[in-house]
Amino acid sequence: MRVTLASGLEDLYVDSDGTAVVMIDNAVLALSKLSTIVLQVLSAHGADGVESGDLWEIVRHAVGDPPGDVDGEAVVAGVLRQLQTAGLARWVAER
Amino acid sequence: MAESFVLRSLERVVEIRMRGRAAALADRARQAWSRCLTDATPDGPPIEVRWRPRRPSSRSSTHVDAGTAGAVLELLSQAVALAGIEHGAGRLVMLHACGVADPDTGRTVVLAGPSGMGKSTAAVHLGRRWGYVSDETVAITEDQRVLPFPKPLSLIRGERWKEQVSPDDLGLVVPPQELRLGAIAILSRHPEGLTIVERKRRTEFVAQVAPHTSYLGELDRPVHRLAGLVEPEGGPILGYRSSDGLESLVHQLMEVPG
Repeated sequence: MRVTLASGLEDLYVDSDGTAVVMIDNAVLALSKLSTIVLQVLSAHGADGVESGDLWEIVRHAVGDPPGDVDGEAVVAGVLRQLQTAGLARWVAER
Repeated sequence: MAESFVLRSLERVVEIRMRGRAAALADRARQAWSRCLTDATPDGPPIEVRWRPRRPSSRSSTHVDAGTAGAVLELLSQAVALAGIEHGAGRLVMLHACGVADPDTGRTVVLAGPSGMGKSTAAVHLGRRWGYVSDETVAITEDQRVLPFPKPLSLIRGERWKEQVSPDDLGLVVPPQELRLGAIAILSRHPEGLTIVERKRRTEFVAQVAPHTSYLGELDRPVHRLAGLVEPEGGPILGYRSSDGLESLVHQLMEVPG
């Protein structure tokens, strides 16, 4: 499944600590550092989006390897679900 | 019969027309709005005020219609504030907040919070030491000037409608003309007493203060504008139980270099 940035994003402010705050559909939400990185990756890939299974490999360059017992792919999958619930990301059909 | 006067509401200059029976309330209204009276020329539609018993109350930024004197005066306060807020949409960051300013420097501390959080009570208490800026709406320009809105304080005194009391009648300090933003804090009731409960990182603070704004989405790059008003290290959530303790917290915020 591919995932893209949702179209309703009105403003994104990324702070120097890597966290962010966004406005979407007039709601303002704070994002963790990892959510911010994922959102920026989605933004960079535009309408084509990213294969969700590839996302961890893309973002691990920015966040580094996690501790041994942490499943990075699962963490990113959780972040994607949160972004989707918040209306910031959406699944798209394969091209 | 009609009585009229002109008020400044943030950047709006609005004429108040007290029509018919409402004209009898004009002196009370003028007194309550003593610090907002102006000789400037109105720059938009007036607010038409009517006092008609046994009719449902209503108000907008251009009219007030109410059945009792108390209702007329409270709804007039809301209408005047609304006129200023609508006028500032797209230009000003407007917070549901009370504000007080250092009488010497104009450094302004803004305490944002929902209705019922005690903003007016805090303004009455704090305004005896610092300059009274507003008990309800604080507006901030793009260059971080604070616009005073020294409206009547809306005080619960046992009646159905909040009494509208002039800051002059309460002996509140007049702030300097030039006001600069010092700090924004969010008010929160705290059951264990008074302390700075938590300093939130800037992004979290912006997300928490956003619900206490008006017309935020009308601004260009709204979260950038809000984030620019918060210190890089974040902003405080002020837990408090009584206005007495609030004073020391505001004192700390006044002391922080802007």
